[in-house]
Amino acid sequence: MSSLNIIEMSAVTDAKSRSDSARGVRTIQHEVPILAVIIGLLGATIWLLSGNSFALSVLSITLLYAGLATAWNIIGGLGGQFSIAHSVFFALGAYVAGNLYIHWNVSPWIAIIPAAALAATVGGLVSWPVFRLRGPFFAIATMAMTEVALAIAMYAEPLTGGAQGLTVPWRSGLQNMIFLNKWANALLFLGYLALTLGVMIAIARSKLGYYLQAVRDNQDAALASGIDVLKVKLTGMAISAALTSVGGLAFMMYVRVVEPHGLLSLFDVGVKIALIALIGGLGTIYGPLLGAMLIIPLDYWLRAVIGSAVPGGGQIILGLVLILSAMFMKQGINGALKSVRSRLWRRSK
Amino acid sequence: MKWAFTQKAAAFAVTALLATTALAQDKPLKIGAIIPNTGGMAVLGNDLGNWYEIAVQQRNANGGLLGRKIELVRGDAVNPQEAIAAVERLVGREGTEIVIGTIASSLSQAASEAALSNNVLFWETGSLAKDLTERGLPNFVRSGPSTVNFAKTAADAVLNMLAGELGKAPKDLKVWMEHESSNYGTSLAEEQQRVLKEAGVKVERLGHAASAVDLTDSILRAKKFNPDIWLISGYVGDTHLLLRTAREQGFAPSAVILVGLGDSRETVEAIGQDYLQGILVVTYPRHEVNSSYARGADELSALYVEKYRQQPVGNSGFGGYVGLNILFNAIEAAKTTKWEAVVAAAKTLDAPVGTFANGYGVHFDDKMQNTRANPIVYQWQGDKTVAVFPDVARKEGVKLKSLARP
Amino acid sequence: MDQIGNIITLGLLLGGTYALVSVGLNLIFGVVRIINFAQGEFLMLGMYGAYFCYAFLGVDPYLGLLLVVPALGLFGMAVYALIMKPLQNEPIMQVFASFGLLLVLQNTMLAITKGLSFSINTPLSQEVVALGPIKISVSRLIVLAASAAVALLLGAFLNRTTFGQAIRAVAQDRKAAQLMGINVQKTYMVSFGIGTALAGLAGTLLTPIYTMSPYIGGNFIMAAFAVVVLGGLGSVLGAFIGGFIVGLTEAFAGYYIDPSLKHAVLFVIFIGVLVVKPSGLFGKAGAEEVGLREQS
Repeated sequence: MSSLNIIEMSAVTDAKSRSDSARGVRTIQHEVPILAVIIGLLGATIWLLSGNSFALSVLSITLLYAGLATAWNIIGGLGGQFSIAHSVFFALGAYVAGNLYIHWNVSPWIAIIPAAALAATVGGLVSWPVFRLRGPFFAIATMAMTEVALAIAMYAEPLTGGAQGLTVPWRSGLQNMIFLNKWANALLFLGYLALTLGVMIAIARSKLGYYLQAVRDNQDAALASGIDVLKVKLTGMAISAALTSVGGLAFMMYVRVVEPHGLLSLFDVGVKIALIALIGGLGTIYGPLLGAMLIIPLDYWLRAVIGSAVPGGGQIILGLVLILSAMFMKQGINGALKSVRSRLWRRSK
Repeated sequence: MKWAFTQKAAAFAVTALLATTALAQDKPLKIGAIIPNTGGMAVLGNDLGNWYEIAVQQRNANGGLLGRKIELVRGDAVNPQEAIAAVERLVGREGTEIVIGTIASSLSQAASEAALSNNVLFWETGSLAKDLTERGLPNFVRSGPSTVNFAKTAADAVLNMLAGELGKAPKDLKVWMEHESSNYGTSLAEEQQRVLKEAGVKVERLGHAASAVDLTDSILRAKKFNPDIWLISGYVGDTHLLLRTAREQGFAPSAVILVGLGDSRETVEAIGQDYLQGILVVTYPRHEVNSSYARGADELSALYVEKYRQQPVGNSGFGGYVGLNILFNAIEAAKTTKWEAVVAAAKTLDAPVGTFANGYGVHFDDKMQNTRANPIVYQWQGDKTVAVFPDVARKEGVKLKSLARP
Repeated sequence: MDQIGNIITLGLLLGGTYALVSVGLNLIFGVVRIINFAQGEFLMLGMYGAYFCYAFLGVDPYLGLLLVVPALGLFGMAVYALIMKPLQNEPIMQVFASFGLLLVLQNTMLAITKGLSFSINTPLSQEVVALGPIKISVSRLIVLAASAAVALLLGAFLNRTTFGQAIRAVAQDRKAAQLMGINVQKTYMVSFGIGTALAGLAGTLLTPIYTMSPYIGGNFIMAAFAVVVLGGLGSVLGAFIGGFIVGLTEAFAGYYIDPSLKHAVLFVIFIGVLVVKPSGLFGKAGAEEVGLREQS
């Protein structure tokens, strides 16, 4: 048992988490107050913006994607399993919520349980055979899965509404998760973000988190040291999928009209989530939030300012931002901030 | 005499001066438009925006709306969440008093609900989904057709025009309905199938992915069914591929009907004039229509070309021009832009088919769907498409030419 | 069963299309180890380049390719040098940079053309050859012939020429190749350029068949990845045959099951093959690990 612990610690002090261990091992107790402050600040932002419904709608989508990217980060960043199939879990959450609400009048709050359970199961089942694939092959296999899911969504009309999708009638009320006030929507997504961040913190500072990182950094060594690699990956994927589906559920009650192409879009959902986590900082706790706060408002701002003038103009700029971010911010914004901070720290010594 | 004239002239000059200063001094009346400007819908969105601008420009030259200058503000959106944000920006930040649109039904669905929560009217000029009016959203009015209108026109054409031409009774007709598999094609095809089946026609429906690399399998399936009429509801790329493949494989049903597109330069460039002869197109009226059915359509098309230096992209944007004009009438009647009053005023509007430049009339049913917004049927004759159905839309001397495939 | 001749023919012609579209991706993925999300966009640029030659220079697309293909090759090399080379040790970043490139290329074309569609309708594009009751489009036949020619030429290039052998050496073991005095970066750059040039070739040859739009690249990219991975990375023969496997699968699934499901059927089979034999049908076992080991 004790020899296993030493190897776990070695996994921790591996290159990629060196900056963390330089400050000593952090536990959940360290993280909770930071989380509370950040959620509090975001809540205050919502309150400050409560007259500005455009800003609130952009903030809502930002918080949603921040939560989705945080959920993805559990298996994608921490675990290094580059899934582009998370749109499938997103869609599952939306379809389960929509279906139960429309056909059986089940409140979305209750629907969270079956949605998360289904997503976790599906996530485990479909990723199990492909987890043996490494790096880009795993990514391509997940892209292929998205295509299969798209075909199923188009065909399974009784469950998904087929090509016409699902439409949720507007009946406001807390029990329906449908709100008249824009700030209430933003608050809901903030709650979702808090949930995903909480789970991420709990995992990152737990054994599962260290196992995931060990698998990411050197799968063979992890296997050699006795870690059940497949079980670790499956657990991470299941949790990640469950959280993603909750985001999809909240999304369903926000837009109230979904179609297969919109939910399962490779670019608008699958790649975007991974991208946001990447730009923010893979494997870090708050990286996805930072990434979302950069990409989403930029996207909406570009659309508002340039979108109507030049067809596609905003997307060209977004693409350039992506290329430049990939080239100059390899560790993500989080990494860039950390290196700035460590340089300042060194200088002040 | 001279004194009366001078007095009139003076009165006119004073009024004009007051009117223009009034226009200049009053806050402009801003109208927001949800128009996709990126993605696959961008070309149609841009076209729609152009037609809206022409309507606004003309109205401003005629004294504006409620005495105020109209200003059109565009909002780009390609999915429902962006549509919501666009409405919030248009109403909340830009101060638009009404929101109009759009191209896709999912955008309309989300945008109109966002408009309601911002307490403004949503005036739909283009999206087709039946559900948009069926759901009973109180601030929603549709001046353009729904899938029901499209299906009715297609069915009318089949039963009243083609059946006779082909010499068959409806119950002996076989129709093969090919459609692209997303919401747009599926909802059109389902509605068309429903209406035709009710009339006793044998209908088979098959979907294909608009992005398919090859459609020979769909053509082979169609060949097997051996239909009299081939009805295609698709997008540009796949419709062209279907026609090319049909030509290649020798699939030649007696009549071919394209729904919603296939009447422009793009199709001639792709297919070539020869193969297109006789093919029918169900679309909005704009060009080569009887001038008593579509008043001033030709002049407006010329205006579009002059202003934007390109041909309109298909005819759906023109429906936006007309729809916006109907909205202007409703606002003038209501004397305000508040949605409850405009909806009530719209209900009172009554004009027969053929009143407006694209042959629309206006009469809203109790779900605020314009029942007099109908597409018509064109046929490729020579280097252009001409209106052939209904009879009132036909120009002098135009008649249905041979449908036979070469 | 009466249509079986038709379906097989269709599958083979389609296979030729997929093989031609994928050969460039195979080279880039197999050698440079980059998932080039933007590969479909180079194909799209090839199409628009051919249209430009046709509409403004009056040149038939089959001749226009003499201009378009080298142009795209140079463009590809520039893309590699400016974007991919600095990211050579960050495979995930390369994926995202290629995705950014995809957005830039698609939307630049949208901005230039305002989304209007273009097609080329040369007399040749309407020609059909009949093989008994089976009708074959000449354009697709040309694509099939081209895919075979390209596969042969590329194979010969990789096996018989010095530079080709350098490419293979780098693909097998980058560090060893470097130690042997091969300029790895130059090899990567040229390989990438050849890959994009081949995508441009595919685009040009496909113009008589398709109506082009800025987004048409997306129609091919997923199937191209399936071909490359199924066929076995870096194996020219494998990718060639992989194209036919994909083409025949789609043809049979499209006719006998449902045209709107053929893509899904293909991907189910694709995932199945990946699970059983990750190196693809023709790759050497463990081929998918090569290069990855060096990058982790």
